[in-house]
Amino acid sequence: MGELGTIGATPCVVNAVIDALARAGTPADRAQAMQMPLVPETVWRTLHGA
Amino acid sequence: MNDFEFHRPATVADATRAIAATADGRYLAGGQSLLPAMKMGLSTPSDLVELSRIPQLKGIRVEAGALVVGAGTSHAAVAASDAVRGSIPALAHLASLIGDPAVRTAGTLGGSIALNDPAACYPAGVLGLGATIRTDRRTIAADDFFTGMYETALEPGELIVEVSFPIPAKASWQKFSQPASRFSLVGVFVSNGPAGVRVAVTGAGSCVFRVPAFEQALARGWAASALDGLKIDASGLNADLHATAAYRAHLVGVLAKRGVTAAG
Repeated sequence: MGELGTIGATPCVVNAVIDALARAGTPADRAQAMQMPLVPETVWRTLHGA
Repeated sequence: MNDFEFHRPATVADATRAIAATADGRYLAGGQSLLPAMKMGLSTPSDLVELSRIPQLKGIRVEAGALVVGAGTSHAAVAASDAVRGSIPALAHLASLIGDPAVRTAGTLGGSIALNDPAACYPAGVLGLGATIRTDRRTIAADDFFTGMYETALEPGELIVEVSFPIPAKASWQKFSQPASRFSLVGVFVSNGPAGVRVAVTGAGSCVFRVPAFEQALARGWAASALDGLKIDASGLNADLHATAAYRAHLVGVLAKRGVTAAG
């Protein structure tokens, strides 16, 4: 059984954040360059182009 | 943990007398910061003067436009109090979010503000409401009480008895938690009432502080839009692995606006 059911959750969440940032106007290459963990400041900096 | 003498007085007078007779004694309230510090060897008091059996330090009452909370009242008791919820619901909300259930059950108002941890929640509530701290020997305005990182205006042996909060027309507590410690990464308390318009910030600097530029803008018009374009200077703010100073400065603005909106 292991962790089979949890493996997909993390990329799913990261993809959702990247998608949300793209819809907010963040260039796709910058949104996709984000590295986990997606702490609030990481998302904020990416959103504001820093 | 070092060896220490233990005292358990029944009155405020006995407590101050007991501590005056010690070499390096400390008051013990809820122990949620002092005991961990002693276990780590960071604090090595010669004596502990334990305060939980002093009735004068307990209780919550409303009198003459103010909410008065005994220094030994736990965060859980403040959070659950009908008197607090009915007079200053933002303060009950603040108390309900401190730490975890164990911390809220043992930790006290007096202990929190006497320690003045730079990320503690209560200092923002006390300063953000313009409260008055009553000790065994005098009263101290909140504006004069918090003097620096882990520093207060308390003299050696001085004991906080109760805190009097003027009841505001509007108030809100907005906390951005640091999820591991549940301290405030940044917390902002806003209020509008007999103590004026106040914006108090914890977690962002070395000590709780007010934001005069925000307060002046809100005094001209109590609306989140009054803060549009206003920023606080990030220089000198805390920076650690959880957040940079720039992010903390950003959060102060966001949380202040949320607070003004939530306060109505």
